[in-house]
Amino acid sequence: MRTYSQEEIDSLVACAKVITEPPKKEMRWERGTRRNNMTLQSKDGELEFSVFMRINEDFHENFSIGLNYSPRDERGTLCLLRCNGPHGEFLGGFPSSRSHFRYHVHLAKAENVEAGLRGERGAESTEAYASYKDALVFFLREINVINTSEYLPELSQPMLPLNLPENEPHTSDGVRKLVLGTRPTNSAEKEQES
Amino acid sequence: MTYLDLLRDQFNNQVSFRERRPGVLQLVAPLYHEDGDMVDIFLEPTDTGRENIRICDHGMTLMRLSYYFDIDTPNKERIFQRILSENRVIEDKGNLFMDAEPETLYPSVLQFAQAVAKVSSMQLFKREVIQTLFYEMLTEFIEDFLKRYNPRPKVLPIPERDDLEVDFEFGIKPRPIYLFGVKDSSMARLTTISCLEFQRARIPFKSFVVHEDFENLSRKDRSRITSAADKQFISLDDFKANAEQVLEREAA
Repeated sequence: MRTYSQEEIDSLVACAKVITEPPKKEMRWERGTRRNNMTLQSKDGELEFSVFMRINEDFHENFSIGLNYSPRDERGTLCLLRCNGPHGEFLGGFPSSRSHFRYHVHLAKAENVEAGLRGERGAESTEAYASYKDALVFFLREINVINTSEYLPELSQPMLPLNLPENEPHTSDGVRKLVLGTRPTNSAEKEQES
Repeated sequence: MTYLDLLRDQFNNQVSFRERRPGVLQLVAPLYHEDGDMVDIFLEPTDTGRENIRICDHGMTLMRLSYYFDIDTPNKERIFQRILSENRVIEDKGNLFMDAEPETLYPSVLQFAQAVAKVSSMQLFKREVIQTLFYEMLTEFIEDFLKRYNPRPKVLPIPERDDLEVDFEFGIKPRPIYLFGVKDSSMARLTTISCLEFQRARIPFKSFVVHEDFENLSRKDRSRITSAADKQFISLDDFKANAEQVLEREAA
């Protein structure tokens, strides 16, 4: 199985992407879950990604939005990033102890792939979002989708500040730092595009 | 002792309960999916009027599965239903559940968790994983059912060209049959080249191609291989259904 460096994974998450197959206007209900999908390509057309969006019908706070990378030279996909609702406990990294019911983010780690584990094993709790819609806005910003307004105009409005503790920033950069730790921001890339 | 106390005791105090809705408790137990998320198990009263407890997942197992895999064919549905029935689990609009008496709750929870794990592992049936088994499945079928046509694996019709290998040769007279398994475009192109090279070398043979998925090839690849090969099977299922009859005709 192919391995990745953390820099490769980070750049796959952060590279500029365009929506090539937009999500359906309405989520489809199937077997207890509201579902939607879309496909993305890197801006240069070289890389293929897919996004899934899921909301549990009984517990709307149990949602998941994920980015899968489909390498062209290898079968299978690698889940790069998943934003989840507070559906239950989760292991905070591996093999560290478990965390409680919180909104949380799974981010692929090179060490997991190297060890033959699920790339996105382990998660970190986040206060960057507190609803499905906030999570989707956060997610699309994190994965750097540059034509969101074309297909998801309702998400183009700026995010409302969340009720973060006073000593924690709630600017977009602050949120990114809070959630994804040392991952480099892609503001330079966005400036280039504009 | 309530059933919750009993269950906590049986789990050696390694579990707790969280009320997610009135009367609906989520079991917090050290049972985790591969990604580190806890297995979603809920306990609630049954709607049967008895004192049984319903162990269920409120659709979370199928939701998680759908990140990577859809149960969208009759065959996948059959496997899914078999996993459920073998574990005494029922599905209602995506909700997996089983009812248990209070005194059997502990083994029932473990059984339910096992069923959830098995359903979750259906993602291993993904096309890209199964595809890697294509040659194994083709070989197994040939060895099990086509032995009387004298199959020989890995044959080199032009000995000095070890890059042009035939997957199986069937020793049928007057002309042997060269069979190629093709699972993707690169194999389709190699098969096309091989057939043309064997023809150029004036080797007497007939070529059979078994595709993993003919429709998945590009239009140009389909045209090229159709022009070069004598007989094609569009899928392994097609080959399994028709191979004997076709080989019998060739051998007649």
